[in-house]
Amino acid sequence: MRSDRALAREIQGEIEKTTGEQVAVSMRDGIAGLRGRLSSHEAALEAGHLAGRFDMVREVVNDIVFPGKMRFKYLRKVSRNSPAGSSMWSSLVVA
Amino acid sequence: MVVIGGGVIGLSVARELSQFNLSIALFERHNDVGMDQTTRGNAMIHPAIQAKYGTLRWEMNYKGNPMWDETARQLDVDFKRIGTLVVAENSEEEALLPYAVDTAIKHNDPEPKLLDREGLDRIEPGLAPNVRKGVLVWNTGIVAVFELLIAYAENALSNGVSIFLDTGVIGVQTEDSGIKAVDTTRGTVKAGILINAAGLYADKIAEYAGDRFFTIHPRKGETIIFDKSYQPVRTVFAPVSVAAESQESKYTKGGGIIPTTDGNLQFGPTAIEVCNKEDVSTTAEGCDYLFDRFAPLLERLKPDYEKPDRGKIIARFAGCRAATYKEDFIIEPSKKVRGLVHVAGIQSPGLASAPAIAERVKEIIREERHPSVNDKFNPVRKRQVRFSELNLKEQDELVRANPRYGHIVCRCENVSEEEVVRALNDKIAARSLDGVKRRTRAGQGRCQGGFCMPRVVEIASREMNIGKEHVVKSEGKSYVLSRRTK
Repeated sequence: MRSDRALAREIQGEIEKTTGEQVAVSMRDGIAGLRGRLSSHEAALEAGHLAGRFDMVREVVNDIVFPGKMRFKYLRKVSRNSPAGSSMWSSLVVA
Repeated sequence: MVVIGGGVIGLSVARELSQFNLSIALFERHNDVGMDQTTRGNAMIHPAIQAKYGTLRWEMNYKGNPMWDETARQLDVDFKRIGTLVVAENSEEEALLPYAVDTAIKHNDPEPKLLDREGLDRIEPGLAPNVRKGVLVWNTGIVAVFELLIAYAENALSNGVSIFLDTGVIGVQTEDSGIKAVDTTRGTVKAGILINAAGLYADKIAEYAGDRFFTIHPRKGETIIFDKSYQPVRTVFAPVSVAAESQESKYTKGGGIIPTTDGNLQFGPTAIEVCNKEDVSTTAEGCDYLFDRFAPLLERLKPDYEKPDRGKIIARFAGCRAATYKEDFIIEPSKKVRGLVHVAGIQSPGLASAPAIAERVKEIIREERHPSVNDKFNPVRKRQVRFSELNLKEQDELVRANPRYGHIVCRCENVSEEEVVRALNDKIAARSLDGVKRRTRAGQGRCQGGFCMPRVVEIASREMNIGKEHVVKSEGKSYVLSRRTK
């Protein structure tokens, strides 16, 4: 059984070999965490897929950034539409 | 309890959980249900032959597929088992057919049938003379997907679920490692259980709750739809060359030739990784790729039928699949946060798997919370009258009873004013032209709204009591009219 550190190093090596670029890889409870900067979206995706192909990896958190990466931003808005269903809205605690 | 996400997964889970005595609220960020993934796919109920055997994705597909007959019956939704037909074009391909049968058997799909020419003619008449053998995977189905979403929502509502559209989740509060409340764009709701069925943003919800252990990367699929006058196939049509390619595909099956319950044919979807989860743009390249890939196959294998024609493409659309890097479904209670259940990474065959996923979530909640059973739960929902489906006598009676049925708004799809009015006033009411279109088919025909759109704008303006210039195509500021001109 490989240690988390050994597995992280193996994933890191695989990513470096395939993309030709370096990223930081961490392993904890079967979750592979990828961090760093790569040159393209394709390279970042490939890194995620490479990590995901390891049997001992349960899931992958891919925080690799690349030029032009879209950042999630939630638009705060209040709708004019009435909610469907019961009157549960009246029981809400509004922040 | 809060369910985040008003796609087929969130809605089916909410409906399933209404079998318990729980106070359930479902939040959907869009102004309608199923706007991200569910209505942007191919509406196919997949057989369990493409998902990797042994994965949760396969298991849910395998268990979910046979549940559709009963689900569609309960919800009164159009559903047909049309089968997938894999045909061989030459002796080399014929030699591969037993492998297709073996694959289907290995995946526990019931009774794939190896067909000779006679058998093929019964299923798919008019095939080219060189096609002598094929395999029928009979349990492939197609469903009227928007009708299904409305049906799930209506049935959930009638069983006590509250559905809040236009309500995005912007935070999750925890206390003592348990769910405490959910912050939305419209206020904060106290909740002890949170079902994360947020599709493309499930990783964001997990992060809000402090349990981010996966990343969703969007994979876009484009689809093209043909006019109803072009109906060359009855089955999901997959020549060996396409089926073999699908098996080799790293991430997804990469599209097919698929009829819809409404009688249109579709090619697609494609599978392209994109970096923006909101990227639902269609491209000339995507359209060309689909046409160039599938049209020659139909031309070759259905020579007696009308030649595929780009002029018969009436619409194209795209959506993003919510893929994780393990390419498997995640359906599990959080290991860190009590009361949080993730239903994430649900991509194709998510629709086919939905009833099984809902049942799995119900079992998780039953084991964790031991809720009492809602004796009043009623799984049956009845759909409303569709004018175009009635015979002349029935139509006449209906018009006499309600003259608004006599005002045909959409000539292509034979949709009456009453149906449009109903769509705008239902429990899950349409709030846009697209909402009306999805509920009634007004605007989905050959002219794509060219004739009926002004009339629908007028009715929407009247029924929603807003100016015509405030009627939107989809949501936000997608106004149909820019200003009054005279």
